[in-house]
Amino acid sequence: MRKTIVIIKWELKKIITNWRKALTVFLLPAVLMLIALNLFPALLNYVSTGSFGKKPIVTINAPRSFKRFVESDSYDLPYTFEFFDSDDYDNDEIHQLIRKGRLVVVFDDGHDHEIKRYYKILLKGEEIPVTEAVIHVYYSSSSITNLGRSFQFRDEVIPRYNDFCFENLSGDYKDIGWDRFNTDEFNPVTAININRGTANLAASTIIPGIILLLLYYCVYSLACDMFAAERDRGFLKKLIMTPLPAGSIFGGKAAAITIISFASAVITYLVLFFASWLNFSNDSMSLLPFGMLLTFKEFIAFLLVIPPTAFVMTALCISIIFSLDKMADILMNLQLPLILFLLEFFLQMVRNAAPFTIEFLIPIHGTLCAMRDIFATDIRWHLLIITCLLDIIIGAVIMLRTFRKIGDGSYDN
Amino acid sequence: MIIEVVNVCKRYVGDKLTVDNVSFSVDRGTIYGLLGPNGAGKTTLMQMIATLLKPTSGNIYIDGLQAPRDTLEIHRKIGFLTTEVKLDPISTPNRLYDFFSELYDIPKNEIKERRERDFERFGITPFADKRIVDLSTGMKQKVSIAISLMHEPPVIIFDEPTNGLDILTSKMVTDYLLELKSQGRTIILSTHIFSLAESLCDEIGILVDGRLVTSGSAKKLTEQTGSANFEEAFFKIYSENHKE
Repeated sequence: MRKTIVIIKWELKKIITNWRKALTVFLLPAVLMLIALNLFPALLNYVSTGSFGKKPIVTINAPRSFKRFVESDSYDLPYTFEFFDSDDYDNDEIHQLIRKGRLVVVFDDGHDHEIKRYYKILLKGEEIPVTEAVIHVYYSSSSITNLGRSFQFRDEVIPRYNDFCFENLSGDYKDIGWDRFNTDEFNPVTAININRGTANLAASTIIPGIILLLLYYCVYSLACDMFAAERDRGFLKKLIMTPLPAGSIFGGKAAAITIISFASAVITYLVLFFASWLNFSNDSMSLLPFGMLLTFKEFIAFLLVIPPTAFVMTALCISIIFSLDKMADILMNLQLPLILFLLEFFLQMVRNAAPFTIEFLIPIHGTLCAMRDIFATDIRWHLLIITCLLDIIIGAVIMLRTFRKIGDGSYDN
Repeated sequence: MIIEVVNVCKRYVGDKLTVDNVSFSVDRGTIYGLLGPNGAGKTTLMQMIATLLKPTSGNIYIDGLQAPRDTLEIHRKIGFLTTEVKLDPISTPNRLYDFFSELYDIPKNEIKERRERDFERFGITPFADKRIVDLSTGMKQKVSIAISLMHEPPVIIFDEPTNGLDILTSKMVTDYLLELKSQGRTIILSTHIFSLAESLCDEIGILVDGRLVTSGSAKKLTEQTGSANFEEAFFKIYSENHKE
């Protein structure tokens, strides 16, 4: 065991003391993921609307109160607006704007007047009136970004505009009407939870797939370096010639890969998590990293699922490396699972339903399902533990088989 | 006998034997040379003696120990050197030495002293903190020797010891081998350089197409074949035994 630790320490030291390797292993995945998360919505926007930019929201027949609301500094709206009258656009032109990814907000005629009338009725204490001051928000449901922006408009702009209307159009009713004071508005946790609720669901479909992809990238590059490259240059023989069982050498290296890739996944998570606090973009999809805000229990679950997955991935890579001779073949075969992980990532992204129980029994895919549950704040602990145990058992079986082959000398062709 | 090779065969793929029923033994404190052209099976045989390859059939004993039962004990008794084995390119000689010292169970309080002694002997000291990738081929070989023999093994297996080295480093290596012999160490070396085999080895085994066709001292083999010199003797033996 002491010797295995010597091997682990040696491998860790090799990575940590080489800044290029350290950056590649620890920071590159985080940076790649950060770029992907910010670039992906833009690409999606481009695919669905043909435009990279976030165009201003088109408002038609906006009342004076809304223009004053938009110009007011106190509301800090995450949008810019363009104002038009209904004469400026016909229906076809509006449809064209929506198809291009624009959000179109149409106000009914006499909007402000109708609001004033509503509050006057309330002031008289008559029966609760029905208001006809309606705001129509038109969006393209086939565009995820457009859909997201429309929800964001509904959740963030309309309530603030309501407040503004109450302050400015309710006349005398304001003095006798109930106060809208809400203690929760002073509680930052409430604000976080509101954002989290929106972002968690999106994060649960996207983040697990990306984390698995990056985890595999990390495991595969380390396995290539520690096993394939060392075998190629003969250094592995030098290690085997020491009075150390082959199992300790390979086990130590496998443990080092698991530790490093685990650290890399956690660093990726932390970088994204902290990056979400620096995100001042007004794009609704930029809220995605916000979905990475996990509770303590969820974070522990996240930490729990990574090492068994890294372990089974390592076992898989070692088994591939020792069943092939040529470096080019090894690289090609090790890259194949990356395509599968990419496919899995896209499948999970468009999938709405929660994973089925049986899916947790599939190695590595089970981890994806468990992570999806974690980010969707719906952990099924028993399934998570089964997934972890399965990954460990399958990884151990693959690794023992490979070590036995190496010990037999049956790999030495 | 410290090394005994008994009826050893090695087949990789197909029917062809790379090493075909080879038997020989080496006395303690002697240098045994395996001489043969490329592809004769020298490296395969050396790797089987070093336990890196498993023989298809036959037995190899090192000081009475046999792989796979005693593999780890054998590793303590042998030092295996080959120019094919390259050290980790981004590590330094200092770090490599310390790492292997731990693996060979060298007491911690002795490591520094041994490292200084070995590095001084091979002239590695000024390069001890340079990365392996930045060292010359000769210096890399010296570092490799220092590391492979740090545990002072009684048996040294040296595959093509002077391959790719300049004349100065080659001289240093051959002198060192003679010094090791004088310390009572047993050495097996493989080579295709006649002068090296003739000047260093107490006994030479000639490998042709995987078979050990004859063995003896350079003088004995020269006389046996009625040749003027050892080089001529080798070609006679080779042409008599090589199958097209």
